[in-house]
Amino acid sequence: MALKLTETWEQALLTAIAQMATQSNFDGFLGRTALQKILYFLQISGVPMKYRFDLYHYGPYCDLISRDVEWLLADGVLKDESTNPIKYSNYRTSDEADELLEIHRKDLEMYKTIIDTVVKALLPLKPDHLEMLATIDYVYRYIRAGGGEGPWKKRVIDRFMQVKKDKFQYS
Amino acid sequence: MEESFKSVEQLSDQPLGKARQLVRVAALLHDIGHCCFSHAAEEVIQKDSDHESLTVIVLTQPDLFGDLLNRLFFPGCSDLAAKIIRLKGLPPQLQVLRDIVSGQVDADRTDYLLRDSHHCGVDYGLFDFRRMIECLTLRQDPVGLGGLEIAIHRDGIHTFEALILARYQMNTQVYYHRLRRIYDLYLKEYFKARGKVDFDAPQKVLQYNDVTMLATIMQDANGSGAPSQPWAKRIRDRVHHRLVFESDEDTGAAQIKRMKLAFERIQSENEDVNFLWDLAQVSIHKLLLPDDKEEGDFVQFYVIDRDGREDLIGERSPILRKIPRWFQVFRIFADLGHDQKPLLQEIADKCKEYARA
Repeated sequence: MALKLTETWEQALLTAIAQMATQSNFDGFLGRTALQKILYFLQISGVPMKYRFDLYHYGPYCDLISRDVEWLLADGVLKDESTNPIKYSNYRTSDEADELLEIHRKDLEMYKTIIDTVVKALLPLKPDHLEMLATIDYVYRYIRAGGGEGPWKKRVIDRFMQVKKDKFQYS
Repeated sequence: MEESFKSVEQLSDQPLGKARQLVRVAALLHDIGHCCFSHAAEEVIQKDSDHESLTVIVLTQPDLFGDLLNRLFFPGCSDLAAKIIRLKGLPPQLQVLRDIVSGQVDADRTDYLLRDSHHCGVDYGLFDFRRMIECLTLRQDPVGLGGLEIAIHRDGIHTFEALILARYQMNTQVYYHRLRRIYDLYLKEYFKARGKVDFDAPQKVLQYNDVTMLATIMQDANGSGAPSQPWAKRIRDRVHHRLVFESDEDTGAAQIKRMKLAFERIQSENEDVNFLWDLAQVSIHKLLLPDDKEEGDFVQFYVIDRDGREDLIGERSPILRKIPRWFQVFRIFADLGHDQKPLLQEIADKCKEYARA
């Protein structure tokens, strides 16, 4: 058994996302922001995970994901193919990925359709696009939880613009 | 604040009074789903039911606390208290209550650091909590969604530093001390050996407390050959593994992998000795500091000056900039007695050598 640091379901999910990028020869970047937002959308699509997302500057974020990526890199499950890793990351699966995926094969198969759909839809998007979508969704759910009645669109956009200031334009 | 709470349907007629009740209920009951010995038994309770899930079950199930809380306080109290604990579906107006229960300066830590320090008989963990509470204030959160967030008046900077230092010292010297960790491992093994039958329903979890479980451990230690007996005997007789290797307090993932390989090597070279490894890891704080390159995963906690100026606490406190964010230690223990000191030393030297390799 080559794995020394990783075994959890959440780590297998991260690996499954990176594997889709690897196997499809995806030539874009799968970095820190993309992983965060893809996992966010997987969670709201019904894939169970222990990650909890709070709203930070770049949208919904969970620091445990960053730590899990660190373990996956150290364990040889993921590799960072970025040429400038301090500035950005570009994750793909490495030698030990199959061993981790095998541990959770049954559960991964159970959620395969959701994982495939979400990852295929989001992988080609740029980080700021993902940030925008995830933040809009987060803001919408947050406002809905506060009670009251719709329509929600204007309130969501107002709040979104308040959070993101001039980073995005609404037209 | 009153206006903000008023917009939550269940609090609308008495917003401040009900919010006060709600935060008290959530703070007092947020850990009620803990098994005996807190986290030690968590691994054997039913799948996907950590202590927080059990807390939510206890708070919301009508025959447990659900009906009682709604009757004693106000309709919807149990559901809102559960949302404060679980976060999911929490009305944004109540986020500040969540921060009081569980945040960077929360009631939970303020309580347990002082209480544990007192009961362990140590002087770590002490800080002027009255002064800190006096200095807490609220600010409108411009980055988030317009809610309120906790901040601190500038006169409270030093007691806030003392809180973070208390957390660092209690974690390193008490909660993650090598002896506490080895007995935690025994407890986990003991619970695993007893099986899931003790904790497979919320009612069963609630039946046990530390005292009743200690009595069970004593009984099991005297028993005859049950799988749990060796662990019970170790706890009762205080016969524990000895520390043969301990990493630095801030060991990174790559180094830990090397140490795990060292563990396997030392184990294969000494097949007649039983070894255990342990990885202790805990977050000391998540405050955003001036040198952070990414803002992503850090909390922006503000200091408010008399003139209303707001600064991140990391900009105002050189002490906080020095306190490590994470405590992460890898340890190897060997089942060797005091009478085997030369072997113990030999193994310790080899562990160091292999971990460096």
